[in-house]
Amino acid sequence: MKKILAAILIAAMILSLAACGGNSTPSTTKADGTTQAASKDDIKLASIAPITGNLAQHGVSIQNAVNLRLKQYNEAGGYQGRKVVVDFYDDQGTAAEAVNVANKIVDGNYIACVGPYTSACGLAIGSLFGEENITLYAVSASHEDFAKQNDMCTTQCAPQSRSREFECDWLWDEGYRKVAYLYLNDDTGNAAQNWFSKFWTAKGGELVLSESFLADQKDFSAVMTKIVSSGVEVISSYANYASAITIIQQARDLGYKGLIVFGGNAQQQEVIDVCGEAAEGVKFISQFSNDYPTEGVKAFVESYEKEYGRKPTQVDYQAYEATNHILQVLDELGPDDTKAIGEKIHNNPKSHSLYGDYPYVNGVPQFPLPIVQIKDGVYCTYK
Amino acid sequence: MLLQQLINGITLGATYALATVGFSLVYGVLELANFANGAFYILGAYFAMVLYASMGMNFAVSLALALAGTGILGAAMDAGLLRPIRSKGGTRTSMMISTLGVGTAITNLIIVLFGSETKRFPDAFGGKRLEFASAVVTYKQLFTILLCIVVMVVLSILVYRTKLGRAMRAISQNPVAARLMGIDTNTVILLTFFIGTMCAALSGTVVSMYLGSLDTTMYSSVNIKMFASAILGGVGSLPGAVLGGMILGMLETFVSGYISTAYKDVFSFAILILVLLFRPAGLLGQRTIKKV
Repeated sequence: MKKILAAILIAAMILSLAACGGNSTPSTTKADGTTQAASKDDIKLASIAPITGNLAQHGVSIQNAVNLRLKQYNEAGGYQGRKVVVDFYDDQGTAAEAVNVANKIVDGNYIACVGPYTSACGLAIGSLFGEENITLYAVSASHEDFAKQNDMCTTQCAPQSRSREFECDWLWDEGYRKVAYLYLNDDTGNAAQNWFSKFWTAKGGELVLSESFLADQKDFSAVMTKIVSSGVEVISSYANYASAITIIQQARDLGYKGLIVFGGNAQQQEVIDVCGEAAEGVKFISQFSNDYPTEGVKAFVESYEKEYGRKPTQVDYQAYEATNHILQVLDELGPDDTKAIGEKIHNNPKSHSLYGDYPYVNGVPQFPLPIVQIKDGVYCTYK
Repeated sequence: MLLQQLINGITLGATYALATVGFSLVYGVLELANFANGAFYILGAYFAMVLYASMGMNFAVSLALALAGTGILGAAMDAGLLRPIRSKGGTRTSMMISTLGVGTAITNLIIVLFGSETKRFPDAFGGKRLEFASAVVTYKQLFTILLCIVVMVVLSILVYRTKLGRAMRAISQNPVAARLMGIDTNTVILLTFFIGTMCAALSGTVVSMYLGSLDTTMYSSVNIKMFASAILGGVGSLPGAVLGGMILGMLETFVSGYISTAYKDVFSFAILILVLLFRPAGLLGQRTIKKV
C-alpha cells in the first residue's frame, strides 16, 4: 500500500512537472490550428511566448493571435501559394529560458520571430537576433532600450516615455494635480516611474508620493492608508493585472473614491471578474480598445471572438498586429532576405494596421494610445 | 493614520502567524523544514474557492471540506513519501528536498488545472466593515485576527494538554525512546502532518478572502514570510510562530506606512538578523543542547 501511494505521488509530481516544465522543443502549428510537420515549401515563423509559468495566460494569447492571423493569411492564398507556419517556443517569461530558445531559433531557418512577451526577455536576446539578421518582433516590450539594440528589434508596444507623457498630459488636462504613483520594482517599472515623475513635475503637478512594490506583493494596506490620508486625487500605477486587482480592492476597502489609472499590462478581464463593482471607473493608458472605432479593430474583435469564444485582450491584439506586419513585409519583399525584412519592419513609413496606416520609426510604433475605462462591467474606450 | 496602520499591521501579522503555525508544528515534532507547506497553503485556498465561489456552497462547509481534503493530502505526503525515507534511514535533508519537490509539483499542478490567472475569492461577509475614529476595519480583517487567536489557543491545548500533544513532544525529544515507550510514532507523525497542512490550508483560505483573490504567486511570497516568522519567533515554537508573524507584519506595515515600501523587507530582515545575533534560537525558541 505504501509503495502504491508513493508511486502515485511520484507519478503525479512527474506529470505535473512535465506539463509545466519549459518546452524548448517547438510545436509547429498549421494555420488551421492542427499540429503537424512543416512541409518543404512552407515558410516558417518562430514565436517566443511564456506558454508555461505565471505568465502563461499571455502565452496563450500570443499563440491564439498568431494562429488566427496565419489562418486568415493562408486561407487567402498564403505567400504566392506557400503556407506560413509557426513554431512556438516557451520562454516561461524568464530571460534565461529566452536565451535557450533564441539559440535554437536563429539556427532554424525562420524568416522572423513574434515575441517575446516581456522587455526583460527581449533585452536578453535582441543582440543575438541582430547578429543573425532575423527580426525579433516583441509583443509587449515597452522598455526604451529594446528597439534601440539593432535594426532587427521592433516592438508592438509604445515605449514608456511616450505612454507616460501621454498620461501626464491627459491627467493635467482633466484638472488633476495631486498624484500618488505606485510602480512595479523592475527595470520597466522603474523606467515608468522616472518618466512619469519627470513629465508630471515639469508640468507643475504634485507627486505626493512614489512607491515601488514587488510583483508578488499582496498587501498594499499600509501604503493605501498613507495615500488616503494624504488626500491625493489620482492613484496612478504601473502594474501587472494581478497587482492592479489588489491595489483596486485595498484602495476601495479603505474608502478611497478618487481616480485609479493603470499603465502596463493591467487591462485584463480578470480585473473586472475579480474586483467587480470596485473596478468601475478605473482607467487604463492602453494600447488597445475592443470598441475603438475602426473597421480593422471591429473585424479583428469579431474574428477573434468567433475563433476563441472571448473578446481579445491587449496582448492578443499586439501579437496579432505583430504577425500582421511581418506578413505585410513578407508580401512586399519575399522570404529570402531576412535582414531586409527586419530593416523594413524596423522603419516602415506606412504599416497597415487595425488602427489604420501608421509608421514605425526605429522599431517603435506611432499608433494612437486609447484611454480605456471599465464601465458597467466592460472595457470601453474613454477617450 | 496611526490607528489604521495598527489595524493593518495586526491583520498582516495574523496572516503571517496563521501561515507559520502549521510549519512550526511539523518542525517542532520532526525538525523538518516542510517546504511543501506554502503549496498546501494555496492548494487549500483553491479547494475552498472552487467549493465556495464556483460551486456555491456555504463558506463554513467549503472551508471544512477544503481543510479536510488538504489535510488528507498532507498526511498522504508523509505516508507515501517521507515515511519510506525515514524508515530507510534517510536524512532530514532528503526529506526536506522531497517536500520541495512536492511543493513545486502541487503549484504547477494548480497552474495546469486552474491556469495562472488570478482568481476571485468572494468576501463571505459581504464587504461589511466598521468605521471608528477615522479608521476602517473590515469584517474579514476581524475574522482573520480572531481566527489567528483561536488557532493559537486550540493548537496550544492540543500540544500541551492532550495525549496526542504529549506524544508529539515525546517524539520531538527522542523518537526512538518514544517508540520504546509504546507510542505509535508513525501515526503521531501522520496526524501532525494532517493538522499542520490543515493549518496551512486554513491560513491560505483566510488570506485569500482577506485579499479578495488568489493565484500561484502566493506560494513563493508566503514561503519566505513563513520561514522568516518561524525563525524570528523560534522555529518549532507555536507561540513563537505567532509572535514572529506579528512582529514581521507590524514592522512591514509601519516601515511601508512611515518610511517607504521599498525598505520594508530591508528593515524586517535587518531586525531578524539582529534578533538572531543575540538570540540564535529566536525570541521564544529553546537552545538545543547537544550531548557529547
